[in-house]
Amino acid sequence: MTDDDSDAMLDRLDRREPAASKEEAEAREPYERLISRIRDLPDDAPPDGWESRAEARRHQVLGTKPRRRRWLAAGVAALAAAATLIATLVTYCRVPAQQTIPRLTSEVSLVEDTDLRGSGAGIVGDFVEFHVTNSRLPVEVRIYRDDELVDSFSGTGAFGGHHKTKARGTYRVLLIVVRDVKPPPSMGYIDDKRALDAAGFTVIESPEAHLIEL
Amino acid sequence: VEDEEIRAALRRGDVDEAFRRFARAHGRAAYGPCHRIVGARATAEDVMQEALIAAFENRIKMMEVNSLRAWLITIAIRKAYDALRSARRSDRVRDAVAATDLDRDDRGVVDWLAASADQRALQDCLNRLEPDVHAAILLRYREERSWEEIAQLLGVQLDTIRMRVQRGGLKSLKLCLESKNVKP
Repeated sequence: MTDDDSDAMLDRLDRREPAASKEEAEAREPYERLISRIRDLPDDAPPDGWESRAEARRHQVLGTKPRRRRWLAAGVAALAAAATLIATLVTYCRVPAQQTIPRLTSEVSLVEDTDLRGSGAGIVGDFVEFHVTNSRLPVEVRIYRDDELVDSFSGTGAFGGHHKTKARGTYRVLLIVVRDVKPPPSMGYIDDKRALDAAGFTVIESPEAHLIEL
Repeated sequence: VEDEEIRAALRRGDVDEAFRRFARAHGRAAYGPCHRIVGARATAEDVMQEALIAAFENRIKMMEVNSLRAWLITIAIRKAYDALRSARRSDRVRDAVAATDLDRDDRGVVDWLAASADQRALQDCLNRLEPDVHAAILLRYREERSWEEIAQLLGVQLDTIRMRVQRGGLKSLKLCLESKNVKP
């Protein structure tokens, strides 16, 4: 079959017309199977919670201007790339009404001189950012590097904050809903989680952000 | 129907609701190609989010394209290739991303291993195509869009994209699969 014949065959196949000859029917079989394979490629599902993360990111994009690393050499237009962490919310929830549970999203904002869309990779000096929405009760937000508490914030309603990283490590953000009792002072990430859970606090935990110094 | 409801929400100024509907209706369809191109689930979600936001912020197009899904997939595929190219630009950065993804992407690896060898081979071959040809093939054979619509979405001549898909795309895919000992 010549190239022209082959093109005509593919045209007919595309238009779902019958093959013009037995030879053509044989020649188009592999293409029919190929198209069928393409159609049957598995439909991957995004990680759970992707819709709320997409929504949070949109709000963030609309609400903030891209940041630039000011201490980079002048003239270099740094592209801000937000490495959104997967905000699978782990809830240690003892509150029946879902509406009263605040939402927490967190991310490491990268400001790089490449336009990498990273996945949590960053450099020392990048910011760990968090956003809280849907919070009707006061909440305390704690930011840890590895097991150590490095920053904390408190607020009600929708609010956010950031922590400038000073060392590499694994960063985590913990949101604690404050009802009647103040949460106990921090004893480190692992102990805090254990103690808060045991005391019946509603705790929402962000996924880990690994900060790797490049 | 879904697209009309999204547009109706936009018309009445309910932008948040429109975005929620848009993401829910089409985000998943855009995620698949992103995941298959960039490999890691976290990065794929990142790219999908960018595509959703970029598409949604282009309100004129939102109101006029035939299929919001097809349009979103086109944007997502281009962005996925951009992300891949960016990651490849710097070895240091690529290694850092790979290290992070490995930590957080166990399910992606499991998905990949669970796919049949033939599917993996096909995906690998698709990823070797030019982004527009890749996008056009998915739009044509998975989304069953017309050539007119594909040409409009990609901003190219109809005959050009059809010829590139048939001559450059399908034939290349067939040869690529044969080279991997997979019967097309």
